[in-house]
Amino acid sequence: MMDQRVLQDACMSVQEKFLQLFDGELPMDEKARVEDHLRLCASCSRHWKGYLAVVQALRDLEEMEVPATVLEGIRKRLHRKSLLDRVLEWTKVAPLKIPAPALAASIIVAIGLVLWQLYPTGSTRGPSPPTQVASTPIEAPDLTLASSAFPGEDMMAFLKKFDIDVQWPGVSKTAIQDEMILDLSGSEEIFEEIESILQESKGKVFIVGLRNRASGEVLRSHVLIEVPLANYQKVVQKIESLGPVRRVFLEKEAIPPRPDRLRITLIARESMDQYGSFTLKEATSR
Amino acid sequence: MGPKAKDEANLETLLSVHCLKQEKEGEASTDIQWTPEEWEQRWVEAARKGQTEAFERLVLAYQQKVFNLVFRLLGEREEAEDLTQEIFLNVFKHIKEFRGDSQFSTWLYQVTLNHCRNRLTYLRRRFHYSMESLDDPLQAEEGEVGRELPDEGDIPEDTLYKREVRRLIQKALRLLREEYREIIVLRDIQELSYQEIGQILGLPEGTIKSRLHRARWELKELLAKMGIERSE
Repeated sequence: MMDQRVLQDACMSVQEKFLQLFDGELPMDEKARVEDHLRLCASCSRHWKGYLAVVQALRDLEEMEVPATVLEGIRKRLHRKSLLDRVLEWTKVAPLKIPAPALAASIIVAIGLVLWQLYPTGSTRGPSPPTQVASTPIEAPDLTLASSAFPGEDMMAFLKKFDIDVQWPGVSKTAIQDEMILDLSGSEEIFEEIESILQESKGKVFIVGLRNRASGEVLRSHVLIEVPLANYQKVVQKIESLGPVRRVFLEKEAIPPRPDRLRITLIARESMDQYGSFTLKEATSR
Repeated sequence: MGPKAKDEANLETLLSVHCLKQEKEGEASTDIQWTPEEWEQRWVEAARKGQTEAFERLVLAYQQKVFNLVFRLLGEREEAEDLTQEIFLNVFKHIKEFRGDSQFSTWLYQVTLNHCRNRLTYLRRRFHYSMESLDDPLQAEEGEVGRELPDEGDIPEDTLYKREVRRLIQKALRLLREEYREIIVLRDIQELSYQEIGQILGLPEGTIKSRLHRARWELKELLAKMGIERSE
């Protein structure tokens, strides 16, 4: 009868060789020694059979079919354009719509001014394209829009720095104005949410983008949202529920632009009915 | 000039035309004889340039592997479906970061593992897995099943044993330590080579083997505790 301790050592040594034995990587003499031990030792033999059975069972597991919804979901999200993509697209085509004299100027930077009127009343525009997820964070602008009674004036002042002549007809009285910095990190669906909020509140969204024409890079963008006064509080609450929001209110608080932040200016209007549309006469800059 | 000699500028168009042709005719183009590896390289290159069509080819090529890897690691079908989508969308978003230093599949596996680890951490924080024990119902491929086995009549004992092992294995995997589960899934379910696993996990072959051995041993012991140890 073998000494218990010698047996234990031998068992341990054999059990440590299971992986190599399974892979067929043991040298012949070593393999023979292990197999001899397995014939004599019931415990090791049981362990070895269990080991083999587990590995075999793992390898016998059938590969699961991927549900078609997985590919469909990927396709859908790959092909839908983000709000940012729409800004980029617009800023690319915008100069072509500008009257010829404007194009004659030597152009370094183009300013794109986007007007999306969601569910417009009496607008000649068609319905907005489907809302999309922004896959790329938007760089927050360093515009100062917050202190004016009429944000359009500030916006125009900003645009005029770049020799822009914008008419903003149909002005109605501004009731409240908030400015918020929305932390976008982890909030890919943010634009869908914003657009659905606007849909519910019959609001309008404007996006101002600044693009370097030479490189095609959009340098900044800013979302300007206008909602009827009656829906203002509801919209504020919903935007705040989207993620961490910093309220700037009417202070000119210096918040440096960051790629993971979106600057939103929210304006409540007593009436949205008189609201007209932009006339973009020139969108070039020297 | 053969298609391989086309310069990079033509790559997108060439790929695009080929993909459309395949879809239209339902068969591969005969005038381009690239190997699957070369095709993959070109799809990756085109996807890096933002071509969604090329990226879809990569999704089709790898969705089965990724989905199965995720399912075995997470143990839940719905989570696996959701995470597989998230992984591919994230891969598309960051494909420019793939420099081609390794195989695309290696990089994809690394991304997949990272996502699975993050999701498991998230689920644990939400107490999703905290109450798990050996007595819980099982989540198998076909859904949740109980511990009771059907009447198996004259089926040989060996077959019964294997069937029971398969049934319990998904549950036992979830009870394993994460690093053990990963290595078992990569080696014994996905059947990757030690070299590939080493590249994915960034570990030397010796470490891979010793970890795999401990993982298999622990899984065997877990299954024995579940009452399916083979009796002599």
